[in-house]
Amino acid sequence: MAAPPTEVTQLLQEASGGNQQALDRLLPLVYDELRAIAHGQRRSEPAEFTLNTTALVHEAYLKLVDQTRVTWKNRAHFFAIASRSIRRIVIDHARERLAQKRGAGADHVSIEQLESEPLGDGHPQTLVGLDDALSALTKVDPRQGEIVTYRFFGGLTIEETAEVLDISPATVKREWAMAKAWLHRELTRTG
Amino acid sequence: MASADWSALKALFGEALELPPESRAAFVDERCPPGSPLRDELQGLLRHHDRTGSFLEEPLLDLGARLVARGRVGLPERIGPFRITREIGRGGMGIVYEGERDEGGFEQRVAIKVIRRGMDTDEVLGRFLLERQVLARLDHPHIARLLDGGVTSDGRPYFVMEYIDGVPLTEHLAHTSPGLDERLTLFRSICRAVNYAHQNLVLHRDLKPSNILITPDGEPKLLDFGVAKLLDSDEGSQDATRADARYLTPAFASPEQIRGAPLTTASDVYGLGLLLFTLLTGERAEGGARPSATAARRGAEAPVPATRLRGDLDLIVATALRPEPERRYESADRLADEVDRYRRGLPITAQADSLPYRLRKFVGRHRWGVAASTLAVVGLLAGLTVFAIQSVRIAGERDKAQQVTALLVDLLQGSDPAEALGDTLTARALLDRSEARIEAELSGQPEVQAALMEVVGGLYRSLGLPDQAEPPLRRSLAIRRDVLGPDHADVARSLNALGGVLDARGQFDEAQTLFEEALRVRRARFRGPHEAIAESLNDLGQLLLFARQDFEGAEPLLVDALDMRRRLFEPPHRDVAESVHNVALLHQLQGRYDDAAALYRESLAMRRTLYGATHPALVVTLNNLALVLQAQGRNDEAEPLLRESLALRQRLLGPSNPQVALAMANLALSLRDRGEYGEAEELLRRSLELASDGFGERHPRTASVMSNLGDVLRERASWDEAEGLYRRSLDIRREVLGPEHPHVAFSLNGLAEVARARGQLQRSDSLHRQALALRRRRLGPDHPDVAQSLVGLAGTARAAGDGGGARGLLEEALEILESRFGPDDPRTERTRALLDEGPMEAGEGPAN
Repeated sequence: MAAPPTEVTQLLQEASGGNQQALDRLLPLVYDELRAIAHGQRRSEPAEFTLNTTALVHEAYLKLVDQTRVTWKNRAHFFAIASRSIRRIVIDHARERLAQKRGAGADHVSIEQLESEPLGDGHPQTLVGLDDALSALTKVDPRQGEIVTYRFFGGLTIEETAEVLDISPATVKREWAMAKAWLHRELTRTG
Repeated sequence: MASADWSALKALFGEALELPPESRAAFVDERCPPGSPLRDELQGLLRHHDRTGSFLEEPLLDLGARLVARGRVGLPERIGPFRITREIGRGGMGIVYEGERDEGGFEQRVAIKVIRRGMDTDEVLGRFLLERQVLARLDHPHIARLLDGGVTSDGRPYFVMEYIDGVPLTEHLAHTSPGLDERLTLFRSICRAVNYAHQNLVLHRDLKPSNILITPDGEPKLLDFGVAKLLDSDEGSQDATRADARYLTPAFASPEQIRGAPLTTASDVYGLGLLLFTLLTGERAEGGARPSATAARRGAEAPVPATRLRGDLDLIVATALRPEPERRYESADRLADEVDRYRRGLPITAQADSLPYRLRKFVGRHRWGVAASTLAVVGLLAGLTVFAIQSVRIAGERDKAQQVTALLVDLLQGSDPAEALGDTLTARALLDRSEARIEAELSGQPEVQAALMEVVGGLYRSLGLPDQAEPPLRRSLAIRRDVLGPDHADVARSLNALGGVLDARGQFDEAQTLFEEALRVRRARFRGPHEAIAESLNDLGQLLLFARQDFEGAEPLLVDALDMRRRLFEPPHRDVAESVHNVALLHQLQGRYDDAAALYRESLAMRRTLYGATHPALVVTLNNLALVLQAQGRNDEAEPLLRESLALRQRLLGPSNPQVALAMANLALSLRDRGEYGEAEELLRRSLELASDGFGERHPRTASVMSNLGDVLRERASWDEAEGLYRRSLDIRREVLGPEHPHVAFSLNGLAEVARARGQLQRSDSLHRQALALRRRRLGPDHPDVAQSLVGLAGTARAAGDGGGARGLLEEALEILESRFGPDDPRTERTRALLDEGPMEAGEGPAN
């Protein structure tokens, strides 16, 4: 059910050019592909292995996009789109987990968990809390919301983010700093 | 919040970030005085900004994907020839995978480090190719081997390393909470490994707890040796050994590394100091804190109580961590020795004088800078000699001159060409020049001159040129006696050094006198156990043992030396390994083969740990252990050791070094015993050539090869040539070793056998009886060689038709062999078979 490369490439080029409709059509395609790769692999290899997601997204990119017809900019956009997909996949999963262990603990977020590594399976509430705060931030400042999505969920660099958003790296840096401070404050609020 | 307010807040926040943190409060007061609507908001954001740290900086991407799929997605299927089985971890340099490959039927498990994007692939690879041989030479039980390298299909460089099943040091400490002694044991093993790498001209440059794994049996393994250098992008010129700030771990970097200054072994010593701090306190060293202070702060949490750290251990850490490289411990080995001294309750040496800064700087630039090759060593020798001479001239001060000398001596010994697989010719040309220069240019500085002469002599000796070594060493001794008087410690050094060379040249009488004099001076100067006394005891004992076969005289000296060294040093230690080897040699020559084999194995294990698989010190121990095994009739076990020893010698010393001759001779003996006379003869002929060239025609070792060749030729019925060889060897042995030396019996024995083969039975009988009497006198009545003479004599008796006499002699021999080796030993059985009937045979003992 994967979309043919030409279609995705076309959509990607249009989305990179600022076509919102193209973006809206592209997102689910990327999302589905990422899920399919991830789950397909999980079925074939039951043992517990860690996953390198840069490679996951890269694989999706290679599958979905006709390499001969895209530029570096298109690639950055693809990774940006993938970031949003990743965010959805991660958060959906975390909410699922949270639902499963409903009642197992208060729904508060520990900042230590965000600052050190164990942001994994063990702390779905932390991720859900972050996602909620990020949604709130996006309402106040959509661009800061996007920056956080790309940087934190997608692993884009300052420069790549600047490219996708078509603003200067200095601006990205400033906005990123403020968004982090804002989210930090939200997540350390008690109650 | 209204969108206009948000925009204003953003602008203010952006402006505040441009200011240094300490000015921000004033900025808020100025722009948002108390009561302003945005004041709280701005203050809050700035406050949280200061606390964000690494918050959100590590992308969730990887973590997120880990949540959705625990598959092998993203693991590369293969890297180079290796199947990738899992990710081991990731760090600043990149990702480490576990991989495996099926090679020749056995699974090779490896760790593969794939360097992250952004490092320049071509340069990294270019450097890897340059350094590969050097790094591959690091073969040490406590160092993870670098096996290979290449580029992944997506263009990233990778390195393949030995897979280590272990946990990182800090984790190991947290889980097992070892006591102080165990921590120090770990540390000294690490120091020795680092020192081994330094001797092979490799700096680690990134020593830190995560680069040390502890295996399930508690042994440390150092990872990533030399890898830091491969990734160093500033490595433009060959002589810059600088750090690259991009992947440096600041908490573990030395001051010179942070400055971007050239790195030396002292930088690794600093790294070891930080490591020791962590081992002692469980924390990282920060801002010059003393370990005891950190332990005191942690109270009951501290792994080692502050009271035990205060004093010596604090001082050892502080010395290793001195900001000035030249004031730290001179080497990783010295640091390990210091820790050993502490553990045995001996006074530590910290605070001892160190060398002038300027000199160390010179060394820093030159010692490790150039590509780690023989050329570097030679260039270093040249540079240092010139430099030392200039410095001494400029300084014109006695103290400084001595320091220059100390430095030079230290450095030149550290770059012993034999150890660096040297290019003999080039190093030699250099030495020939430096000797003349020292004589001419330093005549006003006799002490310096004497020290440099000693170094030059030592280097000639390690190049296998004892003839050239003698004059500078004599000069050194004469100067020192003249300037310092007869009882100075430096005079004793010269005495011992010259004695060593004369010993090697077979001038045993003078060598013995020199060793005895050195021992006398040292005993008078130093009290209690001292490494110099142990050295003299050992050298004198060795001479009595080998050259004189004076077991009674040698035994107390060698045993004392071993005891003293065991008290002074913690094994594995080079001096202890030497003494264990020598006591083993004593037992070998006494015919106590079981004791000898056990000690040789101990020494061999120590030497393998200390030096790795390719080192001159291994050769002799390997060889002698093989000889003992041969003597025990365990030829199958001996032969691989002999081949290893021969290959090592050829590799280390070049194919024409006389030491190679001995290894060949011994392998030939093993072949002869298995009846492979053709190969044995060929080896012995080459061996004899090499020995005559290297040791000289009239050296006892050359004589041993001669009589060994004679034995093989006898097997091939080349009586004339065999007889000639025995005669020459007899002549040399009588003259050089003295007529009562047990080796003389080997030649007599050979001549006796030739005589019998020719039917000259009376003559054969008389020669055998001479050999037998000599052996009984010198080796005692129960020595296996006595049995050999008895068997030979029996053969002659039988040939003369005296069956009864032969029988008596064989029974006598059998008794010795049975009590020595037991009734089922092959030699015992062979002799028993002779009692029934069969050919008579007598062989020759080993060359050694």
